[in-house]
Amino acid sequence: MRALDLMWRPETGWNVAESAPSAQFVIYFGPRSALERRDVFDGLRNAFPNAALMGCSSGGQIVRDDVEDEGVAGMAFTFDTSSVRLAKARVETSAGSRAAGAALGSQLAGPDLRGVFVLSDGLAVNGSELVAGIASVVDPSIPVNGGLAGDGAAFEKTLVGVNGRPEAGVIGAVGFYGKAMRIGHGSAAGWDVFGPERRITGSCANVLHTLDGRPALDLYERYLGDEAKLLPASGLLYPLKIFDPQKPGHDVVRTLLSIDRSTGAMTFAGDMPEGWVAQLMRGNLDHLVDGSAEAARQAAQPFRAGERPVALMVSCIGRRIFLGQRVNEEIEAACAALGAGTAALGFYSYGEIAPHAVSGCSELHNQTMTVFTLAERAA
Amino acid sequence: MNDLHKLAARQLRKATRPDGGVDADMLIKLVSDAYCDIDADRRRSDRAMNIMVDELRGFNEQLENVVERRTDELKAVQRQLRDAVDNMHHGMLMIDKDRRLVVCNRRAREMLDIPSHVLERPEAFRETFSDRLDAGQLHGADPAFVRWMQGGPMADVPLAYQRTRENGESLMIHHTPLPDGSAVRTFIDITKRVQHESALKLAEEEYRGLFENAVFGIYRVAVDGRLLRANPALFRLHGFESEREMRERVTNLFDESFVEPKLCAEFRQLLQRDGRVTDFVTQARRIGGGGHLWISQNAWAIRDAAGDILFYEGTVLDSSERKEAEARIAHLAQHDPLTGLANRGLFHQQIDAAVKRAEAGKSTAIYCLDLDRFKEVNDALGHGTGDLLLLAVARRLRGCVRKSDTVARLGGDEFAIIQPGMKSDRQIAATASRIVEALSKPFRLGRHRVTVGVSIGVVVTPRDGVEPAELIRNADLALYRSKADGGQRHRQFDHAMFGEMTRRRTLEANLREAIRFDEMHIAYQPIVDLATLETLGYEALLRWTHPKLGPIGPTEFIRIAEETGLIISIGEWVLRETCMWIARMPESANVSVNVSAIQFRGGGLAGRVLSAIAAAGISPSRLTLEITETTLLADDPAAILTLRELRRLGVRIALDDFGTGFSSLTYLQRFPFDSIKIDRSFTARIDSDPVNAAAVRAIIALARDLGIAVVAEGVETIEEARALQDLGCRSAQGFLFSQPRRGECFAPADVSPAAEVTDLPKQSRSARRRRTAKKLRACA
Repeated sequence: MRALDLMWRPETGWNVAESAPSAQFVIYFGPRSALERRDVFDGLRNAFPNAALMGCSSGGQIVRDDVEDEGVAGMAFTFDTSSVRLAKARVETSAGSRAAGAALGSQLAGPDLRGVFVLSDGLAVNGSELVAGIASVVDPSIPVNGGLAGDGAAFEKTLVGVNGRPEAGVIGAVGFYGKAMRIGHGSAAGWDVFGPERRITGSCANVLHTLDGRPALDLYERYLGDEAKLLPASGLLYPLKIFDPQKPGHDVVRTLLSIDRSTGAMTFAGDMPEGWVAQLMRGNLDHLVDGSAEAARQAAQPFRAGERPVALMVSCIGRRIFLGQRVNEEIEAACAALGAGTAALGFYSYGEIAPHAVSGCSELHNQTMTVFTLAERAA
Repeated sequence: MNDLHKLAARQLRKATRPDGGVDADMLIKLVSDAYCDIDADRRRSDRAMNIMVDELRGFNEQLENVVERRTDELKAVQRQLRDAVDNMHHGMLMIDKDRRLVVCNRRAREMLDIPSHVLERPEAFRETFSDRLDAGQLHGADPAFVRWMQGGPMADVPLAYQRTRENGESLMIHHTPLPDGSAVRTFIDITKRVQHESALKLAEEEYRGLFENAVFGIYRVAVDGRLLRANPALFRLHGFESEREMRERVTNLFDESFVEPKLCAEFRQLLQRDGRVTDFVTQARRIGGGGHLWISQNAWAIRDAAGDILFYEGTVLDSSERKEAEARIAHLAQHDPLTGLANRGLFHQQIDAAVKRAEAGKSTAIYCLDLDRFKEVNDALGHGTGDLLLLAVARRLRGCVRKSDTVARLGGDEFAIIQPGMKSDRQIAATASRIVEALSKPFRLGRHRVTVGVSIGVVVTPRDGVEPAELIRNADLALYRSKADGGQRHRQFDHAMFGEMTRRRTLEANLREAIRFDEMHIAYQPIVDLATLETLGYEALLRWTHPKLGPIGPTEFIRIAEETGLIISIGEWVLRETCMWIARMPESANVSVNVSAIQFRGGGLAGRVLSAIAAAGISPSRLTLEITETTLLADDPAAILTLRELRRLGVRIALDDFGTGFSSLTYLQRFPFDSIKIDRSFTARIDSDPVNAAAVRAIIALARDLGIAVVAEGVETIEEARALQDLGCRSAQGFLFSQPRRGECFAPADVSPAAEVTDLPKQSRSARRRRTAKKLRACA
């Protein structure tokens, strides 16, 4: 398997020096403004006329150990024996998320399927439902990774492209097939919980209304102070750890996507079931960086020494906002954990998809660093 | 430069241009942004910490409130527990592993007399226990518990046992070991229960005695009929050797013992509904021994507190003897003990039943029978023979009818027959005739040969009525008529009989006043010498002329007078009148007066006769009393004595209607009659009937031998008179010679030699009499 780094910049266009027409699959991430340009996709299609093309808008592109804001970063894969298959679905509202997931799953399910990587619209989709839909069709042992497309800190519109120009309301998924295909994955958060445990007393799917019987938005505004006016982006600084009181320890992190001040509704990237326990989280530089390294370590585990897997990293926009200029440190830590010289590409998302570190079931995460690794082992 | 902070190094790297120079503005901006970020982060942290502290404080306060509330609740629960434990009816102690008394409720303190200092100082319990043990105050204490209290193992202490204390109280003690080595002990005062149990045991023994020795059977069965208990009387009754044998054999006592499934169902239903059945008498199977017997059963259901039936209990009495007695009584109640025929009660029921069962086009005949002359047989031959006669009559009656017909004896000599399904009057009349014929044949009763007759009244239902009372009344009317017609016959009821009855009632009512109203008179019929036609005497004959009905036949009104008893006063009047008439007649005139058997009853007849004789001033020998065999039949010593008395005084006695009875000759031996009168039935056609002639010849011969005069009655033809004369009969009376006439028709001068008779054509004697005399003389 060979992986070729690609980069598009406004001033230079795509940097495809050596044409790689044999590449079977190209993945790319870029700012929404760039992906809305016709020449970005067209250039790529021209360069890789036979490849399956999938990409999305993001909140920053991870390129090796750095973060890129303006350029579109991509990677072209050429497999020796393995193959890929693209699947595409559209969603109008989040209510169709599970059905869309199931449609994607049934397009990809197959005996040789080794792993799935999903890129989804980041605002119109209930990520939890989407993953549940895919998991309802494909073998539960197949890891499903990926993330929800981002829109920087704007939360206005996200795009996904599947063998076509990126657009809103699209979900794309790529399946990796073949006995030689090796897949690894890891996810970790590193956020610290603080303050009392609260009970979700009013919610509907991924929309939260009350905690302990009081409006959840009031709580956020109290904690954010002046920064409350920057909601929903500032809300990312205080994600919620939630868990079913019947299954303590199996907790997930939820990050805010949007708010509605008129109704006090707060929309999160995944379900907020009533009766579950919620606890505020806050960032700590060292712990977040440690989390990234932990995720990378998990993802590197299946590979033998000397094997050089390619890493697709999906980290949360919340982490980026909190880390500010020090965001590079989590990328560096992850890359260091994967080993020097590992090819890495990724993006800051509105939600991460990866198997749960404890249960092994693929699900939606927030505020995590997830690392998806793949390599083709010689026969 | 190597010591630079990572961030600073990155900022510197970013601000370094490709030519190696540093973009100062950019660097400063990066640094400044970094500071801003740090400030924002710090402020955020501070704020978050403060809010969190506030929140935690609030939570803490809430928690404290909760703890306080919970503490109060706990205290309340503790108080409730203490109150509950203290107010338990049972005593309760908790002794910890060091044998300290850690819990002791009020009841335990009272029961075990635990001193208060032990309650204040739990460790004193062990010492107190030892002290009491040494003082011998722990009477009945369990040794294992004592050992445990002295430091031994707890394992041997029984979990429940009974202890009787020195004061006689009984305690039930439960010992519950707890995992920490302590134990809870509860004490229940069972003194009363123990007393009650021993009383119960005593009572149970008593009841067992009753159960085992009862003469009647006692059982207990499960709801499904399974036998649970049976006493010896019951298993023996059913032919078993033991209760166990019976229990093993019987699967359902009721089903197996009842002979009639229907009665079994009724019995169960009653038991279910009322919970009790009393004196249920049925035929029962002897389950073990075979055969049947009658039992009287009482049974009752035993229920639990919810009212559900637990089982049934009952007693069984062998009532076979009682049942037989009942059957006998029932039979006796409906049957005549002598003949075994239906009695009057059953007869009425059967009429009722026959009326109800009546088939279209068919009738039921009811015959009411009355034996003629039964009384004579009974009186003459004794009750034993009378009973034999009744039995024989019953047999013959049964032989005259179908088996399905009812033959009843209504009392005395009255019988009745119910014969359903009759198609015609002819058929009924044939039956009645058959009966009359059957009963008219002589009966051989021991050494006697007896002839009676029967009178029968017949009614037919529905034609003659449907009410039993009405039918019997009508049958009686027909019977009365049959008797009035002389008996030995049957009469079917017809509505005209009501008229006869009315006439009889009228006569009966008017008869009382007939003498006072001068409606009666005495007629005299001369008795003549057949040879000379000389009047030898007269027979006084009573006559009654009813103002509306005209002359009434003596047979008719004499019978009424006899039946009503009026004959006594009428008879007395006749005697007096006759005696007065005799007094007016010449000395030679002797007059016969008929005396009814009734007049002998109650005594006083002799006095009345003498009084009449004395009042008239006549010689007693001028009066002859005519009695019938009936008078002597009564075999009444008083009647004989009266007759002897009268005869001793000179009154003459004649035996009337001689030859009509069945043992007339017997009476001639019993009493020395002055004369006998040959009944008109013999006199009639004596000239042409050799049997009558032979009978009269025999009577005359007998009378001559005994020295008794003979008078023939009812002589109507000259031939009869001549025949009598030929047979040696000297005197006679009858229409041939003279009709009976009023007393005033005979002048005293009439009583003269017979020659005068011919010489007195103008007087009351008829021309016929004169002609008779001539003819007789001519014959002579």
